[in-house]
Amino acid sequence: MPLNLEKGAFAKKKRWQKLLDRFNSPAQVQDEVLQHHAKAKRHIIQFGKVKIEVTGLRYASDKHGALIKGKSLFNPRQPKAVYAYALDVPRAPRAKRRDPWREWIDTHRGELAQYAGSTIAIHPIEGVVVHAEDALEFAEKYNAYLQKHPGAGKQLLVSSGSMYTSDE
Amino acid sequence: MEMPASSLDDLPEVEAEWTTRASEDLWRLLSEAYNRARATGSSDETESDTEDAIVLGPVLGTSREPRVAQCAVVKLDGNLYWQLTVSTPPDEPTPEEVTKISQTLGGQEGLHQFLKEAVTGTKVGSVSYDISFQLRESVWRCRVLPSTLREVDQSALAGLVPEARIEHVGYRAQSGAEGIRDLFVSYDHQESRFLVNAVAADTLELSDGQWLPRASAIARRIAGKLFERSGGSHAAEP
Repeated sequence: MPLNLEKGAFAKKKRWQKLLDRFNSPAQVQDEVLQHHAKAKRHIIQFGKVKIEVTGLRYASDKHGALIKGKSLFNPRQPKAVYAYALDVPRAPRAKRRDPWREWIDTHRGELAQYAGSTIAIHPIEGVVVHAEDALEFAEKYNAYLQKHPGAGKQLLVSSGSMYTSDE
Repeated sequence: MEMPASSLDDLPEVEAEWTTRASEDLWRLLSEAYNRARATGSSDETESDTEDAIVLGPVLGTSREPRVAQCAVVKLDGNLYWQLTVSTPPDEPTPEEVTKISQTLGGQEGLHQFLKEAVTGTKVGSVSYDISFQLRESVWRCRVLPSTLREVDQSALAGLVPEARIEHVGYRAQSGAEGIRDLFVSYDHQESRFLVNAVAADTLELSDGQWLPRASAIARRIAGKLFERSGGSHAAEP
């Protein structure tokens, strides 16, 4: 997060009108507030090698504001495993952005059905690249995948359970 | 010795965000307060342009704390997302509409009381404070900036900007003092000032007569650690 010289105490010129515009038109503030909350929560998501015990997690695609439910990735047998903090990114109701994961999911529901009950990691182009029936196994496979594909973590959406099982 | 907030060149500007569960009673109170303030404004519109967001304020502060505050609340999926912004008033004369809105909401005391009642009995999670303030170089000396290049910088920057000095630094911590997670310090050589921005997770505290005392305490802590009065004899350790 770079220092924003146009913001807060550093803004050069402040206008009453801006405050009045916010007051008179709360709709224009709505997305901003939700995005700020999401940003604040993203500060606590960490993917790294830190020894910490985490249970009952939710995973989110913070790039797209989509709320994704998931479970713990922490592997007690491998304390330096990839882990995630809990976070809850509110869905920006007005944001209409392209979601490559959602597009892949929508066009591969039949394929996804076979992973019902599993924890999976989805790449927007390659599809399901990691899958396992329990979180511990998943954490090991997920780590192995990231070792083979450094930096790929940002392109993966992790989902647990049957959220994306086929309804066809 | 704790550095008094008044010894900063300007009081810190703060954006505080927290979440509570939504309740119909609370949303009704918020709507009523908003509609009362709205009725005093000069806007031709009598209705809010959304049913899911409310903005209370601008609310004017007191002579002790001459600030302007605005509180936005968004309702989504059973939660209320709060954002309280406390900042320096614009240099322009205060418009009559602002004065009326502020009076209708009871000024600083009224909004403060409203917020206290709103969170009473409600679980409030960690509050994210985004705090910024600046200090004049003519009065303050920074202990970390500007600084000479470190060895690793000299190696990396050789042949590029070898005579450079460091004027900006950012720190990240998982659990810093006062819940500080991000801390940025910048030396603005053009304006001869130091800019400080911190993001901290702390509790929500609403005390009488002061907007966000936790944010002020965090700013004092940072200023006390990183800065001292020019001349060096007044290092202000918290």
